[in-house]
Amino acid sequence: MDDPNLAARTETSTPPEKERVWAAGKLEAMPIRKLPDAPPSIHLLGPTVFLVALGVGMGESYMWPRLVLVFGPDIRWLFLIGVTLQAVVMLEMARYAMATGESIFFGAARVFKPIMWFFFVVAMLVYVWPGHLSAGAAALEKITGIPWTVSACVGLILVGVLFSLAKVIYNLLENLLSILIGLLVVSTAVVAAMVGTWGDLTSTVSGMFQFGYFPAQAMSPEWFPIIVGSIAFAGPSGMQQMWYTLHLRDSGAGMGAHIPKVRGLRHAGEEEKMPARGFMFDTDDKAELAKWKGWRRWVTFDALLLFWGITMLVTVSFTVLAQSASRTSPDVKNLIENGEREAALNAMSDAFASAGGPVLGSVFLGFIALIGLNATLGLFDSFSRGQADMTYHFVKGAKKFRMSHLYAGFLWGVITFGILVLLFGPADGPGAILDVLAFLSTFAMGAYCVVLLLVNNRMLPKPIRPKLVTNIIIGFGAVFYLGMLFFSLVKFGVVVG
Amino acid sequence: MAIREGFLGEAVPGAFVGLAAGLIAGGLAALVGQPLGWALVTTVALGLPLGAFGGGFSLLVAAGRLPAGRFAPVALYWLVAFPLARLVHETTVGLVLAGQVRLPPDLAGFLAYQGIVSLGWAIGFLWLHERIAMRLRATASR
Repeated sequence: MDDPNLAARTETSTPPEKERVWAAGKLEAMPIRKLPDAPPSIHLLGPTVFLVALGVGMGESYMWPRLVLVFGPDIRWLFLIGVTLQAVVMLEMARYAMATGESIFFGAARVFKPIMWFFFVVAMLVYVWPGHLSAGAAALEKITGIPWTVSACVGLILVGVLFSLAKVIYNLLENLLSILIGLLVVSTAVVAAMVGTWGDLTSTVSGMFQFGYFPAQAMSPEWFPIIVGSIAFAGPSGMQQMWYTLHLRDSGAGMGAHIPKVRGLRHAGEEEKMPARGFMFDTDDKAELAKWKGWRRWVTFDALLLFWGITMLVTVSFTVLAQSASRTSPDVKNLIENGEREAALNAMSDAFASAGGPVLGSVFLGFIALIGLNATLGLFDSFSRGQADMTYHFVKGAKKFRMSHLYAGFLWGVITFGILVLLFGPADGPGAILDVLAFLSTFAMGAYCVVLLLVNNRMLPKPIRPKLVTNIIIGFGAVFYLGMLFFSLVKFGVVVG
Repeated sequence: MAIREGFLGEAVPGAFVGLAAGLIAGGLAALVGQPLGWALVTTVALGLPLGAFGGGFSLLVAAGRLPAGRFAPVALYWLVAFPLARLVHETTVGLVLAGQVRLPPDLAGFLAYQGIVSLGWAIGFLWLHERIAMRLRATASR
């Protein structure tokens, strides 16, 4: 289909005479509409690019290489579990979004509205702080000499202007991020090919299968919370998986084809009327179910190859680089073990420089800046998209505005707040609440696993509900995230590091 | 002749990605103050083989010899092509800088390692290749 939204508009404007609906929870029932055909072949361009942009960050480039230098490559089995779990979570997030065209927030509201408001509040508390800009901007400062607060403030305004001028924000961002992620992946592979060795690679990869390895030093108040945080940061962290459902919808995947796309502020007037709820397809129709299987194949390819594969590639490559660096400069291990993030990043950069020439040190910092840019672009869009979606559907009177207006409101709100904080306040948030923010971010991950179990097993028709194995894995995810978080809190009195 | 030119035009996406990788490696080298000659050697010695293999891949897809948009054929193709491109890069750099052809000390280990890294390269290559090819098709149909 050339323009899924065109078909959707035609259909929504001329509903069938006797409308069939799917009732899910206490909110308005979903009208039955046709499921669009899945892409004819497994094609590569999907909304996974957002998840990769958000997910491939500090966890992959810094936190896990650091743990490998401290505890050895065998600690990486925990990373394997963390990323694999996130791939399954991604598939389950996609299940609801593709079947209904609704976000997971809407699904949570169908189960119990306060759950959705919990996520609304968590997003406001955790994601308004511009701290995520600091690592990338600081790396840029090291390369160019431009003070990081200047580049961060200019970057914030540029992001706002760019998103406001875009006709369809999703298309712009998918194009932009695809190029950036493509370059990141290609460059990472080339640099790893030039610097690493067979020995580094085999120890890194075999370490991923040393299930149960946990040195005594790791079970300390100093390191356990850091390990918990690193597992939570393996792949997308916090609410990033939930936002993926909004990108999936805007990409026109599954029943998302029946929902209009969010436009930039300049083109807000062209936005079609947003329906008050999603749609469901006829799950009793075999032809429709065959199409559904096509969509599931498509998203599984996205989850396994693009998301899992790229996350693994970047983290394995960075770990290989870190091992190579520590071999050349043994001091780097102590620096990384003891230093603050920025000091450790610089130490890694220096170590790379001494291992492979100055080019490698700057390449490393270039990667950190690129990862920071990807994350910032993705994060601002995702935050605004999620908050606008919840506000539009569940705040009284909000439907007087278009979704694009609400999106722009949240976008410019978070940009203005970000600039003020960068200039006058603590970038990561007030010191007194840092622990609370870290706690909430990890807690949200356990909470969304519970939400997924409830939404996919209670709000979807039986033929498209998850299988038992999938439910067990997601249930394990809930216990894994919440269990580690509370264990760290009770045993060591510290949340995540 | 027109058909032949059109067919060769199909090589552009893959050749572009390969050459861009060489350019990135060389460009970064120049940016951080490596001698211009060193940066140029890296650009050419890595970019040309990767560009040639990338263009070859695009032509095979255009000729229907490889399916489009599938990962397994791309991964298998680069499993062979990427280590060869890196071998060309290593020996050329040695030749230009040291004046003699020197193979990597542990050739089997070198090729095996490059083969594994090629999987990552293949993901990035296919990602960019699909996007550039789609953009070119859209421009051509206008």
